[in-house]
Amino acid sequence: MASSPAGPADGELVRAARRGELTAFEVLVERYQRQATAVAYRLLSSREDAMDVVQDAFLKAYDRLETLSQPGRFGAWLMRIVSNLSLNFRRARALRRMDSLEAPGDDDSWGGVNRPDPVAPDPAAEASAGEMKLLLARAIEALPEMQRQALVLFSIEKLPQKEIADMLGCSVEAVKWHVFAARKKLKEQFKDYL
Amino acid sequence: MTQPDTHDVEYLLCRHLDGQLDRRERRALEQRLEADPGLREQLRLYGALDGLLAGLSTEAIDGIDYDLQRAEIITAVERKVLLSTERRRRLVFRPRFLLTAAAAMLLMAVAVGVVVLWPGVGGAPTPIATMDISRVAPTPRPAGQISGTVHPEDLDDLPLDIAPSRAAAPAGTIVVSFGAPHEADGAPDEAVVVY
Repeated sequence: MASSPAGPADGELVRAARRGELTAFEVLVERYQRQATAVAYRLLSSREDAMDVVQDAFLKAYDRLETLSQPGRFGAWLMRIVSNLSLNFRRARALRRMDSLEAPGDDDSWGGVNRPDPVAPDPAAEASAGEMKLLLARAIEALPEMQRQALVLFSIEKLPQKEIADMLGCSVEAVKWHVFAARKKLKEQFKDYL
Repeated sequence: MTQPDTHDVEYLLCRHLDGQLDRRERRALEQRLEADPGLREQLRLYGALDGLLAGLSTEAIDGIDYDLQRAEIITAVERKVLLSTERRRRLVFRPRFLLTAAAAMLLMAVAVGVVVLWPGVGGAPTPIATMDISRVAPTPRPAGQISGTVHPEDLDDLPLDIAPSRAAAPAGTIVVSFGAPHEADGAPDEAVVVY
């Protein structure tokens, strides 16, 4: 979770925004836009899609500010919106791609795009240090949906497992399992380069 | 979903890295790590992977102008606020809404009128007899005619020479008067007259 920088606390800003002070909401946008964009980008692997999702997420958050029972937890609440919207966006995108008969596969997490060569012995075989992150991002993209989301939110964005469980609609234990399964796969893929 | 075995030692390694093992589990794992170089290597690999993953968080996403993104978000919010305000305004000032509101107010006024004015509907007050009771000084020659006096038989010693008083009572008014002289204290005689 992004730590709140100096300035008014999130709860204070949320209450001001509820009173119609748009500048307060702008501060919240500035505070969380990078994290929101990063989460969306890791889940969608597309900068443009991530930007769309982040804008939608902030609009939705503004619309529903009154429903936020704990204004001080705006950040976690926003990340939940971002995560859910990203998930929906990804599903819709996969459906569109399937409709266009663009190489539908047995694993819908890829949606037929950028699927790694299954016969490649090692995804990082020819990676230079600079390419490692790109390959890692692609490997994350290839993970099953729940594993990818759990890994992104926990291992990359450092959200508490309880919040992730709430976001993904599963138990904390399930989150741990998803994160572990994802780590195990990635560790196997990248073991020669770690 | 294929669930990992929670007794899988690698699962324990990950929980160890996340700081989620209790003291007993940690001690047991540390003993296994001391005895098993392969396990130590696995722990190193997971640790290195975690470092790589954490690095992705701070990695800048190329080509994003956050100032522009923020401006677009705020513009979209402003547009939404304006649209919702305009929608509310249009709803309030819509001719059909005004006509409906006027009709409703008219109906309400009629209903209130019926309740207030309709006899027996709104509980209109029933006229009741009024009685005026005044206490006046006795007059020696009342203008009205006294048709008779009544007093209890056992009060024969009541001084009957006290004339009933009259205070502008018109002729024909039936006057019931009772009173008493103030002989003892010398105060003027008084009577109570009921018209």
